[in-house]
Amino acid sequence: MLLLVLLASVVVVLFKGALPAIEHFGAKFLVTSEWRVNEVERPLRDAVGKIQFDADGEQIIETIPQAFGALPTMYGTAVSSSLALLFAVPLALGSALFLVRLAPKFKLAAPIGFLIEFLASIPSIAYGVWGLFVLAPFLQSHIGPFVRDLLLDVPGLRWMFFETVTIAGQTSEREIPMVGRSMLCAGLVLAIMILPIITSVSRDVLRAVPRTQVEGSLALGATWWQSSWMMLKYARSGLFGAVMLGLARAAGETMAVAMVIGNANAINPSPFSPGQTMASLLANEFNDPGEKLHRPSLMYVALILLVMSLTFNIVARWLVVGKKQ
Amino acid sequence: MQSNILDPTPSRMSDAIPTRPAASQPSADQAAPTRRVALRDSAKAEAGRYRIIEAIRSGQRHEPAVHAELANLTDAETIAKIDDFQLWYGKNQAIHHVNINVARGKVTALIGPSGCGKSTLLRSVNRLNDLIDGVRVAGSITINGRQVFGPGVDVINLRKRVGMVFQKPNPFPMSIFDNVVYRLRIDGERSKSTLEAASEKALRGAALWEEVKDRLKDSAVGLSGGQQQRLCIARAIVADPEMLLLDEPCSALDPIATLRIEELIHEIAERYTVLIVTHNMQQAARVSDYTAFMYLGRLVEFGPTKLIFQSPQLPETEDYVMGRFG
Ligand SMILES: Nc1ncnc2c1ncn2[C@@H]1O[C@H](COP(=O)(O)OP(=O)(O)OP(=O)(O)O)[C@@H](O)[C@H]1O
Ligand SMILES: [Mg+2]
Repeated sequence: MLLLVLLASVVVVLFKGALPAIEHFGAKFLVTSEWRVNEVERPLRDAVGKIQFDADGEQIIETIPQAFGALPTMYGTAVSSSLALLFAVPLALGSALFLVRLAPKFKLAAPIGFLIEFLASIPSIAYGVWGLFVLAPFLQSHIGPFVRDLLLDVPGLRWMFFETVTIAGQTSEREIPMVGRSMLCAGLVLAIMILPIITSVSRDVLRAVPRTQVEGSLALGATWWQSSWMMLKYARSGLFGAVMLGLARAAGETMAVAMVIGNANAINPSPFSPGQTMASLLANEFNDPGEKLHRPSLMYVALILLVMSLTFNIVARWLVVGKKQ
Repeated sequence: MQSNILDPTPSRMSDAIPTRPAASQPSADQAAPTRRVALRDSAKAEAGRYRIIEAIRSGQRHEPAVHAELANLTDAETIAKIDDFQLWYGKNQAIHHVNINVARGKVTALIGPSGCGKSTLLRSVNRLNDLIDGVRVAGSITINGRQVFGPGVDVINLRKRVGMVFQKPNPFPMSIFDNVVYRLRIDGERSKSTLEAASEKALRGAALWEEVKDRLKDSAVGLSGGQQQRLCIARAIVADPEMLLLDEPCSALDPIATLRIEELIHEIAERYTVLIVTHNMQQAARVSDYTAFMYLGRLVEFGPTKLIFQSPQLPETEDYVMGRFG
């Protein structure tokens, strides 16, 4: 009950704080990409870039207003979380299968279980520091170039390594620099962070698969893998819930992501480019918000994030708990 | 409690307990009723009456009463031979020196009180006990002359040759059709027509075809318990196994569903030899051709079902099937 009140008050605070931005941008906030914290004053130019003068020979100064749009951060959240799931889910399911089916034989279930609980309890900033000082440089110097050499000739993957830019009317293709701090780096750090929770929930879900299901397939001559597949199938909704919990955590992670994602508020298709997530944006900008609509816009982003992770969590709980009964 | 009933002389106890030879067995119709009356009068009073059971309880080796008909099965008539088989769960021995010949094309029932090792024995035939930690075996089991245990045995292949149906129906979380052809799919069979033909044959064989032919794509979990169990039978026979193991297949079903399964067991036994565990004496009497009575991991008496139920060689068997003991 108290929790509901708490939740409600969080929603109310965010909503009230975001109200000016909601009124100003409306739903367009969700589909625009600009993020201009301060008004900009600059000389007016015409279509070919010539500075315009008024009758007195003075430069005409135009004022570009603040503009806020959540699209790049929503994109960044979606991509970094998807990358995280891509790396974490197969590993987590494999580990969960190992813990349920093999580890007990070697008396490893308890120690590894403990290790996983421990990993789950490491504060995310620790993962962030590791990502910043170990993973990002390694990505920049080794993994990035290696992957580029490996995939460069694969048709259809060129967008990962090259971007087309238009400078002063000239369109050209240029190589994306390997900066280390990138969407990929964030995806990897997030994957490591959510691995324990997905593993431990999946383990519990797989443990609840009735013996008779596994024995039923084994009795028909299924191999270890085939019967494991049967287990995964039987537990699929619970496993989906486990993945959703991991996703909620990945999408909501702030500090670790802010440290490794590169914080570029733009949509860059390549995973080797920097990006920004909703949560990392908040972490970066909230302690010193600018004038006028900046703060309400951040509140707006927070509100979107909250609604999104709430949805993930509810769906996940419903899938994990609802099916067990 | 045991020691005062037991003969204290060790040398005698270690001897096999003699049983009446099968040949001198009085025929069921004549002699049995009178004998039964006489025994019933003294049943509770005469503690020494269960000589084999007492020997088993005290851990002595005993000679089970195996009727001549089964002792003399030829190799051609035998599909599976359980030979001096023993099994341990860690330090606890669950099966002691069991010899059972499973007759080809017949139904053999395993009966005995709870915990006597019926399921363990059944699950040894397809080595499902392998999954359990610390299981050790001795002796041998052969199916059609091929060893079940031993180095170099392909367990996956063994299980493919032996179908099994469990106590609780365990349909897989997929469609009826996918359930039936699971066994073929794991073999890599992809041809739709082959799978369809096989599933129809198996479902007909399990007397389920008429009920499900219009909803093969529906989830199997939506079937009734009895239908699910017949589906599990269809799934087990889809690739023509050499033998079928049924572990109390009706204990989770209502009487009508039970009846249908029992009829089905009769039908499929001719093609697929059946080894069935049951708790239900009437069921054993109805469906089986041969019955083995087990106690504390040992075989006590093994013979044609008719004789086991009407004129067993041992008083303990008689009392057990009458429900007076166990
Ligand atoms: N997985 C196991 N680990 C250790 N001991 C076991 C295991 N399974 C069975 N046992 C023991 O082996 C003995 C035989 O058990 P089993 O299940 O074969 O009996 P059962 O005759 O099938 O009994 P029921 O009629 O209750 O099914 C019992 O004493 C039981 O406690
Ligand atoms: Mg049993």
